[in-house]
Amino acid sequence: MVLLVTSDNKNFVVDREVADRSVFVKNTLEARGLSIATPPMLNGGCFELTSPFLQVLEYCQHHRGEPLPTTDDANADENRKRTTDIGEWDRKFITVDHEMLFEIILAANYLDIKPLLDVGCKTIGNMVKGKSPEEVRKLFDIVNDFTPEEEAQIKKENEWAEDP
Amino acid sequence: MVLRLIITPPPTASSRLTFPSSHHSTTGKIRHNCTLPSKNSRSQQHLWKGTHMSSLTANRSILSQLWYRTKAKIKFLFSSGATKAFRTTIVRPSPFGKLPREIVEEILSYFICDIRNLLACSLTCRSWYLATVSHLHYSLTTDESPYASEDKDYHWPGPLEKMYDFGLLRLVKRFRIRHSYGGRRFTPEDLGGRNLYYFSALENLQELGIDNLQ
Repeated sequence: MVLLVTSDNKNFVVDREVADRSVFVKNTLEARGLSIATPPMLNGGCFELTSPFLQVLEYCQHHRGEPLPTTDDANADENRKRTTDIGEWDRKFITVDHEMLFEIILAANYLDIKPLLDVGCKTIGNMVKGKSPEEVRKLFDIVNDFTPEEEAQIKKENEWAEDP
Repeated sequence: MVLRLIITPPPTASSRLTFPSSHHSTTGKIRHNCTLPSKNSRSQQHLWKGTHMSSLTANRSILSQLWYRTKAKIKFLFSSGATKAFRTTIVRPSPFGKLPREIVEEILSYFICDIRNLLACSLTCRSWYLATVSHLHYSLTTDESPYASEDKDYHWPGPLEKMYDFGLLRLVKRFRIRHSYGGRRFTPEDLGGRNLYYFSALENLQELGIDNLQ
């Protein structure tokens, strides 16, 4: 068993197999020979882990025992980029509000859980897919910071864009 | 101190107003429920004569004004104009602002083979443009045949020249020359003159395809 302490001092006792889904936790434990992993401060501020961390733990619990993706598998990476399909359980799991979704992505990135990060990124990709720039801006409260001239310039540049 | 504003419908001649504070009747007893006087009712006019009458009339007109202003405000809040007005004044921070650049690039990289979505993403905001521009101009194809001008200076008038002007040729990694003009074959001469400038700008070219090579 491993004790995980979040930066807001909440304790979670989990199986080693579950904790090892996070490459960050796994490396920390292996390097220090400890059974307690404390995420340090991020960017000088407290990284509020508790609420997304519960979700992350649920994900790790469900996917425990599955083989971890290897970083040098270039073909798998290429395939991953070409598809935005998400498994049934993962799709239900990631059906959360925008704020939580982004928190989960940040937590997955920080804890280095590549499959969860992929699920989050694919979910956002699916939200963006088929939408106009205006619709995307509205969906994610993105401010249009282009000047009209810049926008016209990009449209001209894009006349020559083609499928890679 | 907490100030609570209770909005009530505008008073009509027959409506009843309930005041939270005490109001004394002519007999000195406390009245909690007061009926507004109607012009035709003599007994009621008698009842509400004096200071109570004047203060109630004033209250009634204030409440009436307040109601109509509030109603107008509510109407405005639910109108499309209000939505636009609020959008310009209250800007919620985008959740994308929280994400590091590499994650934004990771998200947009799912569209590297989907030109329509890439184009839409590139026009969303500056950071998305920067994340997509290299994918958008990864590949370039020229369909037109280079033509010789009077000084025998061959050049492609199409995408190559335009992309050179935009400074985007350094992003091109795959370039295909497809001669479709009268079945003309590509010759080393085609690389001369102005085309040499264009080719030198293809700094990161990884793949070159030439159709009809002579």
